[in-house]
Amino acid sequence: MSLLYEVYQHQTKGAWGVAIKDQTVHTVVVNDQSFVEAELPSYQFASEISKRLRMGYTKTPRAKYLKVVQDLDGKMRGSFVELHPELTVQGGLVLFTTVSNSDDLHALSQQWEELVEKTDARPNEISSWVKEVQSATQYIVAPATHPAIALVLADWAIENKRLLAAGVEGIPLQAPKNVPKEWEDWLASFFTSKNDIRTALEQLGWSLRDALTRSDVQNETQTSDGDSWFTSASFVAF
Amino acid sequence: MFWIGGFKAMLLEGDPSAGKTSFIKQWHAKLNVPLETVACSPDTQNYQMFGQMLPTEDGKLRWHDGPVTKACRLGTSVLLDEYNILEPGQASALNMVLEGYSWTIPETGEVISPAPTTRFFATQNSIDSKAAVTGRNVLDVANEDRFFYMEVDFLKPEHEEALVLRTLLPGGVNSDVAKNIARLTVEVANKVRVAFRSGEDAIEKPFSTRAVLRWAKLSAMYMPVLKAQKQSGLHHAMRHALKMPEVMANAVNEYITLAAGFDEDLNQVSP
Repeated sequence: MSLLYEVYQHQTKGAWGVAIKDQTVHTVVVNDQSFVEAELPSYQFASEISKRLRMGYTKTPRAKYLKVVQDLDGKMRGSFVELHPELTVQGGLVLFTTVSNSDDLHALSQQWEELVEKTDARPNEISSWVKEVQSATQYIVAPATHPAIALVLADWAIENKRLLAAGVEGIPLQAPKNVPKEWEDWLASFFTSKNDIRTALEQLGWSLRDALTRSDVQNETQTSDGDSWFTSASFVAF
Repeated sequence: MFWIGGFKAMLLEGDPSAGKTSFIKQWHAKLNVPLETVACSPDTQNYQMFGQMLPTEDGKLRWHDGPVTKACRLGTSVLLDEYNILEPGQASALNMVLEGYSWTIPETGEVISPAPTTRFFATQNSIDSKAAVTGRNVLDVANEDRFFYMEVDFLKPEHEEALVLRTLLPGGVNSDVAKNIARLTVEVANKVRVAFRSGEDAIEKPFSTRAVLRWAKLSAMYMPVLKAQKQSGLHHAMRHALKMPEVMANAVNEYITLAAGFDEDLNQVSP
């Protein structure tokens, strides 16, 4: 779980962040040379802030998340960011949903992995996504590496009535298997080839043909007239 | 702007079946303003617009107002449908009326002063439209100069899709299936319209919204029956939705296959 830190900035000493969780005060010092995390008892919270203010730190207006990355030398570096670190993905973000306490991320990731493996997504694209899903604390993200990942995650989120968010407006409200054409059009703004999206839909068994010829599609009879022209047409034999 | 600006005459121009006439009719229906319609033809004569003397039961002649005169008296609107089919001479006879000037009925001597709210609407296919619309005349400059001009294009995709849904859903079509049909039919229609405008040889006419609605409805009706026969309802429905020359029908069939990703035998087509 990424904590949301109140961040205090100093002209020369860098940034100091403080967050409280479960009666524990978590602090982080971030500057060019170092990145140090510490925990303090909660009674020291007020005095620690007073000390920093006397040292010349000033509070920044917005709370921030701590993002930790490993640099090329293998050294861990931290920085304060406004966007949740799980939402900053390599290659860009297509969509995301939120993690619930009841989610078994290991089982879900295995289930999704099996689905995505049916497509021509590269093994390393799949494995790095699965790893991210398994370590997710707040958001499950679909990166713009392969359309199948976004389709599978969206399908699960919609079928399970979960929040589904994206940076690009017009995200379809029905699952990809039900309205593949809408998803094909919407995802086209993330992937250079529309054909890749259609291929992914086909490989998942969610093509337009599949959607239109599925046998489990129910008619929607109107309350006023049960006998619709659609129902009547269904009985016509020729 | 036309309406609140108090202008008298509007010329609407656009591709065949773009919805010019429907637009004017719906406009008046919404405003609850009576609309007289003149379906123009090369044989349309002045008396069909202005009126004529007709015999009564007792053998006398009595003046009967035509749609233009009637609208001038009541301050309502007149729709001159397919205006540029009118002979230019007949169209020019309307010049004074379009300006709002008074005129005299020669047969009765009555002076008609158009009520201030009288408005004229003329619809026509563009003379340079690529559609095979025959018999169009070029309006004379004086006549053309009297019109507020408006180009009418086809509906935006999202609006046309909404219309398709309004046709399919009350019939009992599953909403997801309806959405898929709406998205596909409108996409294909717009591709055909673009091909028509860009002068593609095979495409002789654009798809009207009317044809799209018919195609969508027929698709929904044919699908349940045809899928059991491993046939595409979308492709089959198009044959009944619009009469097209064979070359165009084949081209449109191909557009459907490309947009849908499957052919008439429901074989998946590689993108």
